[in-house]
Amino acid sequence: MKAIVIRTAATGALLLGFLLWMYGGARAGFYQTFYRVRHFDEILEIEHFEEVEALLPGIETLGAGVAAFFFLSLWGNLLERRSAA
Amino acid sequence: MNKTITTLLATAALGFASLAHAIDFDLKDPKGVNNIVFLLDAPLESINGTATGITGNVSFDPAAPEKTAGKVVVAVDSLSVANPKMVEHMMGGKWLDAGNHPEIVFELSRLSDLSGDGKKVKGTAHGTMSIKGTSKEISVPVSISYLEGMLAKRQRTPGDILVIRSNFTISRSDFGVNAGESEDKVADEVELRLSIAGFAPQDS
Repeated sequence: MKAIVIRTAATGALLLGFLLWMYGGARAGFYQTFYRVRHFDEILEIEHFEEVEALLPGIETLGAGVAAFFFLSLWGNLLERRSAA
Repeated sequence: MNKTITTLLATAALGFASLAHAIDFDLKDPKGVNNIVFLLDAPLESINGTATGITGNVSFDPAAPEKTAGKVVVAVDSLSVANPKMVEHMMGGKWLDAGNHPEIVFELSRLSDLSGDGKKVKGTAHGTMSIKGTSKEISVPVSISYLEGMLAKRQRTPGDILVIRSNFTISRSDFGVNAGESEDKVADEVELRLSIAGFAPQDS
């Protein structure tokens, strides 16, 4: 029973990591604390940027999700083997 | 003797006459539109950021754009990328060393290879770029738009605007910015895209 809970948590961690990474824009880079919004000054004809604060998870979030998945899956398997033995 | 004095006075008068037409543009933009975008494309990581702390001045004469001169100063601590760890590294001693070298400066000495009229000029800007205590002569393509009387439309103050645009590439190794290190993650070539406006109110 405990092994099933841990394996479910493993899948949840993987899914959460993946979803957070997607929310952050599925970028190859690390997390960001703002994103840029483009503006255009019509008189100067200059493109400029506004920085909007936002926590955008990066590739490390996906990596943490994958690592948690492997760790928890391994733990679940070990518990299952022990209870079977 | 009198002839010499007359010649000297005439030369001085001509010099002052040419200076009188040059307009001094202040690069500090109250609306914060001026920006420089920097792009580094390394095999493992692509970095893009902006610098907005731009000050300085440019002297421009629509009748003699080749004499354009001035100074563009960028505050190093205004360089921003979206990852705070990367900013911390960028400001550190190995990279830009913002504590000891708080400014990046481009001293524009002249323009050459000019085309266009006095309102829109394209050419090559020659000057000295100083980054992290290292100065280097560089020549970069530039386009300049002189917007006569347009300051009134933007800031309700009579005056002129000068818009300077330039896209060029520098090597960080040329300026001793962690030369030869981490080139898989931080490219040596830095692409710069300048969009800068200068303002010359008539009452100043």
